[in-house]
Amino acid sequence: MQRTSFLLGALSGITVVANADHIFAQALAASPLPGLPGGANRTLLLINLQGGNDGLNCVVPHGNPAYYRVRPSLAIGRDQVLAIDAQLGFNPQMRALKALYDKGSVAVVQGVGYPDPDHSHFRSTEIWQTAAPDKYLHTGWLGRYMDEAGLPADNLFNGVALSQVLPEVMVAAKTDVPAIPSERGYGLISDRNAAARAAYTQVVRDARQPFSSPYLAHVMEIEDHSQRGSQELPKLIAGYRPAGAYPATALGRSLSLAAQIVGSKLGTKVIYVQHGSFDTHVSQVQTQNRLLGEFSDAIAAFYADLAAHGTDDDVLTMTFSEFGRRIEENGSRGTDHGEASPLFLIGGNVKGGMYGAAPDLSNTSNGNVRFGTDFRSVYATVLERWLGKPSQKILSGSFPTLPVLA
Amino acid sequence: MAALIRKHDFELAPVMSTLLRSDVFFSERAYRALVKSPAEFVVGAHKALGLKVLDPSAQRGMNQMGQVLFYPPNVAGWPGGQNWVTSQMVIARHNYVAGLVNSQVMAQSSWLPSVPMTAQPAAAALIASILQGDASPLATAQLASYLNGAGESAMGMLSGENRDERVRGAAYLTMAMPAFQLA
Repeated sequence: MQRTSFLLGALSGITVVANADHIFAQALAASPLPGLPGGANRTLLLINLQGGNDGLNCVVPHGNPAYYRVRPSLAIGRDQVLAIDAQLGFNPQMRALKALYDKGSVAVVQGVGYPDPDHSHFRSTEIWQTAAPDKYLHTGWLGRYMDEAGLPADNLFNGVALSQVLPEVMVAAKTDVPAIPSERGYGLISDRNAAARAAYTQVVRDARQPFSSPYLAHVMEIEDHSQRGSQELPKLIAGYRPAGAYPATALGRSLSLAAQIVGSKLGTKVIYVQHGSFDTHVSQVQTQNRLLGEFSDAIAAFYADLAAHGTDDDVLTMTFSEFGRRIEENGSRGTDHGEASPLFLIGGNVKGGMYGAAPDLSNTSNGNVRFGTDFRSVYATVLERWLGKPSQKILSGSFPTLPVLA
Repeated sequence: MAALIRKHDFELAPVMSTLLRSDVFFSERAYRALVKSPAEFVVGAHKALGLKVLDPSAQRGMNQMGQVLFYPPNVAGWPGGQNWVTSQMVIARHNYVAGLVNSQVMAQSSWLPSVPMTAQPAAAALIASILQGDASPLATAQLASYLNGAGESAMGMLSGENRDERVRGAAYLTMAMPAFQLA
């Protein structure tokens, strides 16, 4: 062997080692913690079933005679329930969701709540969104996730709220999250006119401000996000074509936009959507059945669309509601604010089935369903097993995860 | 300051007059060092436009800017400062002003006719009265050229082209500028 070729061979050997290091570094970057998943394309879709969804008429304990005693006018008949087994079944309007459940893509976590539950919509919503039952926080649990996750600072769409106002759950200390009520409803009214848009860019975003202020750089940066984000989004998602029709409901339109954002690969990690109002004090059956039907149909269209684009395994959907409702119906064919209720986890990576204890209708918390699973356990599961982030700091505590994700 | 208060026998007007003209008040540390809350922003916009009647959409606008009046998130009140500035809240502020300059209360006010008739003095007047002069000469010139009708119609929601419309648009642009978000 010639000396030069030996040296060259040794050099190329070094190159190979360096490359292997590089590949290893990439693998490490893709998985932030050893043992934790967190694929680059993973998105969480959070649906707020706002107003307090009645759990007993959503996941119906049709095998429990007590259910029929406490709900004389509201109970869903055994012949109506979409039975899962001899004990439980779905609300009759949730046919499409039942089909996904039968395919193994839906996990139902029953009896989710927190200690000393608050019965006010406002406070309990805040507790669910900040994940802080015993203190007041100004950031949401997903806001803190976005701050902690090391997401690219130049991406304007790390998280998006498909709502008019930014919900508390998406409020972050360091991440600017846009609220996008609809593709058309997002952005500056003045941008709809070419002359006004040009003038705005020249006048408002002029970098030469003749004064200084501790907040000036921040205000200018966010004014830039406001205009640039709403101008870029339509272009970024224009190439996406839904594979099928969505229901003509507000939730259907929101989920269609969510699929567009996911399919356009904007790097969006969390999407917030809301649906309601489930605050059914009066004539509950009509309202709740309609809302659950809209939820079920929109979810089915969403996952069918994602599946057609090969991204159904990339999106985990999780629902929440600020509370369930009282076990006994009231005098107005409705139910009042209660405590624990079931929530849904949906997606290709979900290990379908029923989790958590079914509501105990005899051992109650002052007439309400007692909670069996702390909501922060579900959050910890989503953070650690789906988004690949340690949950302790984000949730200010350690909560056991649930085995609901593959 | 304490001596001044004693000297004026606890009469506050002369004390405030001194304070508001002091170097400290205009110092870099104090100048525009507060982010306006939505309430301050909405009231400030009304005052800037000489509106004596509250525009009925004010409450909805403030909710979108993140402040549900009389309903703070908790007993500590709103966190304030930088928390008032997210892209959603900035869009809500700008769109609120875009609505306000085209509102009924605006149509009934005497502010519009009071703005100078020609572009350059009008731009200078807007910058002086709404921003206390805090815009660059270039931005002021751009505002004047907008008032002159360079480009087509002013605000997206209006049709036709006339002076009032451009003044409304220019008032919107002035209140969308960074200085107007800060106090």
